[in-house]
Amino acid sequence: MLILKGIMKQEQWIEEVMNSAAGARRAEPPANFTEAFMLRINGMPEKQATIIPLKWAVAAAIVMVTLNVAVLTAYSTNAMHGGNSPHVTTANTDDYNTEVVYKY
Amino acid sequence: MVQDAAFAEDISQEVFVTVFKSVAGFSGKSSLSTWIYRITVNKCIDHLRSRKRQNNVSFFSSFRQREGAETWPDTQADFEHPGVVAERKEMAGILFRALDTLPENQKAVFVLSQIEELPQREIAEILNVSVKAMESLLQRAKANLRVKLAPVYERRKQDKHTSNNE
Repeated sequence: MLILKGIMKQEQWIEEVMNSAAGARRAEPPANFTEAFMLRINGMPEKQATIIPLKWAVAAAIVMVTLNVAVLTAYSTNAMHGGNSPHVTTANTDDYNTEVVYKY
Repeated sequence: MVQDAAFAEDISQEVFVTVFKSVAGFSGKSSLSTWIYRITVNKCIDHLRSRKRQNNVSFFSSFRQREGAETWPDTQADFEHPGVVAERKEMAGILFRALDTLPENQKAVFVLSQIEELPQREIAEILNVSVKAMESLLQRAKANLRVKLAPVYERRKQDKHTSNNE
């Protein structure tokens, strides 16, 4: 009987401990919390969208087009003078299943 | 959950920043508070895991210092939750020390259920688990706490007995 009483007392104490923090969510944040948060937000480096100036964009486009033209010219000249011509293989279309079956 | 006021403040600020940055991507599948709770719990769990890793490293370096040191609860740092009423502070201290030894998910479930007093369905949503899985986690957390608290009760009883004899 005494042992049972002891166990019950222990169980009761454990339950009390487990419920001791119930409702602790109602705690108020510290007074300087909002201030610290605002400081942190304001201290964050702002992300700036990088806008490329128009003249740089035009210059880059001209360079790209020139390079493309140069490559094509060099390639065709090489082909005309007996270089390796572009060799295109046509795949046997029988190997491909061109019919698409949709399952809804 | 992190049991450190400074870390808790840091985490809450991080949560605000995350909410501020990604609120546009909030799909609205769950309520806003559940979404914010999920961000908070994830950040807390990340923090606890990183702290555990650091502790593991320092455990090896200070292995010799720990020899002979008393086991839980005396080795844990004291923590006072500001929301706990004065007459329950001592008991809550014991509870928080015991909570600190639980796995992160069990700890999260216990805190959300017993301290935040959220409904089970919301807790399950926050942790992205089923209600049954959440209930099982809570049961395991309570069972583990009982196991950890029983020796504390015995020790306190013995201490009381000794001081009465003196």
